[in-house]
Amino acid sequence: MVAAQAAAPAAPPGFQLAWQASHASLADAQGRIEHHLRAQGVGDKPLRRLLLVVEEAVMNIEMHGGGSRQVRLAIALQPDEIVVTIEDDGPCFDPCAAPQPTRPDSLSEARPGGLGVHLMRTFARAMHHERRDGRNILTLALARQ
Amino acid sequence: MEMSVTPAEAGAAIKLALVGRLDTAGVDAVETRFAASTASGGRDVLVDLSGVDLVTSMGLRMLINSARTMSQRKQKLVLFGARELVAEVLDAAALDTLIAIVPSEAEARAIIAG
Repeated sequence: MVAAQAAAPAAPPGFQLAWQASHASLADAQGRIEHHLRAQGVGDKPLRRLLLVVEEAVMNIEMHGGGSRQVRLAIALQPDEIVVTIEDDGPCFDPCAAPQPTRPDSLSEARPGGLGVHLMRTFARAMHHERRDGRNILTLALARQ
Repeated sequence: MEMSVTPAEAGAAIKLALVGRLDTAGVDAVETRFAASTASGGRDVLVDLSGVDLVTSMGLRMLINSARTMSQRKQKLVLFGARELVAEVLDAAALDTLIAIVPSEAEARAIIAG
């Protein structure tokens, strides 16, 4: 179940969601994110880039979190950027520090792992992780156009 | 995510068309059928990506897994028609070093025939 929370009236326009990480709730969250961003006039390409990095970040939370994790997401629209902040209550995991995946020489050598972080780095202008009060806080900035 | 299979003559390559988002939900929706379609019958497979508007690492994993299985069985898998962000993701992942990826169906069929 994904809970949609209105931003505080005095804060800049924003969008917030909270959910327990799972495949079903991720799909629901992505639907709500898309609805919000389209209503704000965000175009297809930046929208899909954002959905991509959100999925990769949340899948990492599932993979490294060891169980169902509480995820909180906030999106702020700026004139030329979309800033998304994703928090979770899992063990410390800093995707910024993850090594670049090794390019396999063949299909038989290709192994899962690392592609998600690589895609986040590729499509986000900036990525920042901090650990605060037992939570991972990942902030990504993407081009708005 | 939806998948359609274009019937082909016996022994000919089959064409699978994916439509929608090849993200976690999309992979959950089609992975079993996709794996079964690519693994069975000993045929080469063309995958039409022109209807896909998003692919994530889960989608890449699905494609790589099928390609690996097919390669072990000496079957060819060729992807074609990737647009915009999908093409950028395939490029970022350097997927073309593992799987044949071409712009058009005609080029895909030429690889199958070659």
